[in-house]
Amino acid sequence: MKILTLSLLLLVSFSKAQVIDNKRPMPAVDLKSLEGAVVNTSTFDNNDAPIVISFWATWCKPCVTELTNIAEVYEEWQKETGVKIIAISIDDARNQSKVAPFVNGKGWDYEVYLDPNADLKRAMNVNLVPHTFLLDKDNQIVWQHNSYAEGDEEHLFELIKKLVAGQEVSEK
Amino acid sequence: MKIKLLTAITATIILLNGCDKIEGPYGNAAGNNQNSGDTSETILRKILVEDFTGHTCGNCPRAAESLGQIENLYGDQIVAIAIHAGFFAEPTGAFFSEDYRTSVGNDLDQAFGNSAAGLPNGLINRKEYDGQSIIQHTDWASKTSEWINLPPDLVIRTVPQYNPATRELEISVNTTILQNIEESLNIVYYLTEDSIQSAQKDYSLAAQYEPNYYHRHVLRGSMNGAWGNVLGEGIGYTANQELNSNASFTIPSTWNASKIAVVTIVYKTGNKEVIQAEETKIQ
Amino acid sequence: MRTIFSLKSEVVLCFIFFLSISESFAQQQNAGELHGNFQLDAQYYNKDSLIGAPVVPEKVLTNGFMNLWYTRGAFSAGIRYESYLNVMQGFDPRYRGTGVPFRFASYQNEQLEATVGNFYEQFGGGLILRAYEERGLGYDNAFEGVRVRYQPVKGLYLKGLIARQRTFFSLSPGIVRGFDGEINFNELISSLADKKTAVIIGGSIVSRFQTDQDPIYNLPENVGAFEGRMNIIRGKFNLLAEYGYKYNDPNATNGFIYKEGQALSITSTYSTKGFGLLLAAKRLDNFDFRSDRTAAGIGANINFLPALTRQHTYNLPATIYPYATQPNGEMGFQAEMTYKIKKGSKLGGKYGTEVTVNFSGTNGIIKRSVDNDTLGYSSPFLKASKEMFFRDFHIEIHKKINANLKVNLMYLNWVYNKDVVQGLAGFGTIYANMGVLDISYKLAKRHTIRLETQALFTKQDMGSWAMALLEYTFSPSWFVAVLDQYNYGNSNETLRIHYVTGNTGYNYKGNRIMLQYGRQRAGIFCVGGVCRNVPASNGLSISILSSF
Repeated sequence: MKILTLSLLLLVSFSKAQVIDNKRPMPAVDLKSLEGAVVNTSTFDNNDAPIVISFWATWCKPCVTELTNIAEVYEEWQKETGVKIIAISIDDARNQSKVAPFVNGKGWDYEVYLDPNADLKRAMNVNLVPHTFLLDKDNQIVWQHNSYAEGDEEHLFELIKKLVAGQEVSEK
Repeated sequence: MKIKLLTAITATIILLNGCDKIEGPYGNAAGNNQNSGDTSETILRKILVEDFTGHTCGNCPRAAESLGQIENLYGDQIVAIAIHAGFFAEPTGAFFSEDYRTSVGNDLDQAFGNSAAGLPNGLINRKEYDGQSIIQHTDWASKTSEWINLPPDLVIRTVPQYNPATRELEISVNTTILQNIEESLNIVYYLTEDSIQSAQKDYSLAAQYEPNYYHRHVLRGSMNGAWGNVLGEGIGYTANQELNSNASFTIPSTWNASKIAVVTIVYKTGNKEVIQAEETKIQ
Repeated sequence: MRTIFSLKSEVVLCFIFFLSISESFAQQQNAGELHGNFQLDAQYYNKDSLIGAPVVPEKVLTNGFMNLWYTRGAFSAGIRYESYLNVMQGFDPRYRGTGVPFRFASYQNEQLEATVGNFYEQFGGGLILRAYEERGLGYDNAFEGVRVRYQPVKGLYLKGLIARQRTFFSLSPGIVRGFDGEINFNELISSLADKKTAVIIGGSIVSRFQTDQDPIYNLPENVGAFEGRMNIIRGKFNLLAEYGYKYNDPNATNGFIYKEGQALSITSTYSTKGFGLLLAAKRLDNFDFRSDRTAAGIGANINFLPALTRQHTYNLPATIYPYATQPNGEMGFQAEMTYKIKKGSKLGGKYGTEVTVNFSGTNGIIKRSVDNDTLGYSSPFLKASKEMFFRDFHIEIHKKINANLKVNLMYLNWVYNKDVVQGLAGFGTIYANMGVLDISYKLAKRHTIRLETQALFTKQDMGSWAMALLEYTFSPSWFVAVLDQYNYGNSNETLRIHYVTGNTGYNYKGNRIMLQYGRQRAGIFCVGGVCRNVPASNGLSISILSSF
């Protein structure tokens, strides 16, 4: 009898722990802005509009292609959905100083942060870049995608519109 | 806040003092070799140093120099073998047409992974230090000094009999155990040839190679395979136990018999760690 | 009375009951999360004596990794499992077997973060301390010990650590102690918050302890290094300067000399919308700093000294003659400009054109002999030697021609001192010109085809190469590509080989699987005096990656 109660309780307690969840908040990690200020990811907010977190690096061609392609339609996206794109560069000390002139040289309007010690990259289990995450209005991660092929940004925009319309996003 | 700042400052000061600035002398005087010049048969532990090398490996002469320094320091207590293996031992071009690779050397290289880890490097008594058996030549002196004053576990006496006419070599080996040993041991008889003259790449030279380099204690082969055979019964050994073994081999005509030595090695069958070695010239 | 693990069963029952209740409350706020990633690389090796591929007795070699990361509120913990059964060709064979070389537990609140176990850390630009993982190179010098990050007030960031470093599946002998402080004046002093100029200064001290068991030398057991940095940002300008000094550190790579080491790095950038400019210079003198003085090659590095050259992404410029930093003496500079010609203008075309120009060069330092040999040499701080290590000039133009067609055109001029960079002899300096043409065409809404052609023209070493790649992608999941590298200029006719590979891949959300079949070319890989031959290979390889 005792063993039964014990095992039942054990079962209950362990099933309560959320092991792998569909929705989760971003890990709280310190990043650096291009002006040298320290910014914590817990402050990322977009007033109930979706956020796109995109991991990239100056040496990653598909990342640059993805962000360049989105840059062309970013203004329209913002007008229609209010989405904010936060581009997080994993460039290390070799290329860190080059991020600001690179981003400006390309004319991108994104919020760009540096993750020099790869703290956020590790905390979000990113293997390779490009790796993109989509956050809903409650700043919960609802979708992720790795690599980039021409046209992927259209699919991303569909998902952003779904979120704005109040629909759930988790499956393809 | 104040306490934390104070702690930080204290930590800084402590760390600042965590630097040793050495003004000199930079070298140790005579080292700690208490046994040099001793001609009586004092039984000592001998350390096996295996130098993995190749004739087109331009950094390898540095390892040979390190080995030379250790031999000067510890004399007879060092038993050295140079194993030519891997990419940098391949014969190539007009100057490096010799092939000092052997199937024994290749087996050892495959087992310990030396040439794949980048040459030069070596093994000291084939022991794992912090999980690593491959040791850089700049560390050979430190690793060897760990063994120098340890008492020997056994003593090997190899008596060679070489017939120059037939080029037949026979050895009879007596192994006398000095301390009780619980593990199984293997015994193997390697053959090395000293001072083979041929070209060696050396990046420190203007010409980038030395055409008349003396390759020292080159592993030429084995009388009983790469790993030898079990010593005695292999179920443990007691002090004062004596084991006798023998082997025979025909020395090829391309080898210079006056420079050939038999290197007898006794090692633990399980973890391959060498516990005693002996070098005996055949002539 | 039954006991479980020597605790009375009633006590255990109450404890579990309490746990489950607290879990239900926790659910409303922040229940524990478990996430991770997984990577498996495996290759099947065919025999191919034409390209010199070695025989692999195991036939299949694999590298496998899994990271698991658990977070619950302020607490997080994780492990990484690695398996090398056996390790793939080209990686250090001392990666052998399986194990859990990385595990940690960490607590974080607003001001303090404490981590025990394994961790990665960087002080400033990594000039005297940086631990990181680069799985593609087989590089992982993670620390194992204790680390504390403390932020007493906003604008003041302190870090301290005491640890040993990972080497393969064990630890390096040296103990590393480090302390770093950084002050951001604009955040610290509220009256400066709105100033146009931002000033950040920082400094760190690192010391390594390793016992001296060497019978020949009298070695310093504590080797210390310090570093100071300053970053000034004003509007469009940014200036970053970092200086490092290392006390006597006789080690395997500098030949056991007792000379001090110095490093200086200065980077200035100017950036505005549509234009970016970078000017950088650096000097390194005896700055190899490891947690094992006898280590060589890729092993036990405490600091990080990246090359001051542009990191290229196309195959031929990036992989045939890549520059590697010479920590024991080099001086280099780089100038890079990125410019976007406006849309609508004559040169810019309908969408605008991006132009990038870069010029970088590195030489050795002057080493003058000194009376006392063990001090090594003396070197004038502001002078470089005439020995050229590397030169790279490149110009790149990227243009979108119409809605479906994009073109990238690049020219490079390359000078590469193969002897110095790879630690070899007899190869001399390679003078090469390279060209890249990359055309991307959108066939239909989600179908894109890309053609990339590259050429490398040189008279030295293996001669000229030509490369062509054809890639077809179907958004968002599929890609198929065929690649051919042809060494047409090799002076030895039998070595004019085509290295053909085909790859395909599929990705879905956080997962990706890639297959590759064909021939890969060989190379000699040398790092700091130890050379390793990376063999050519022919076979099928598979890569599976997943983030969950």
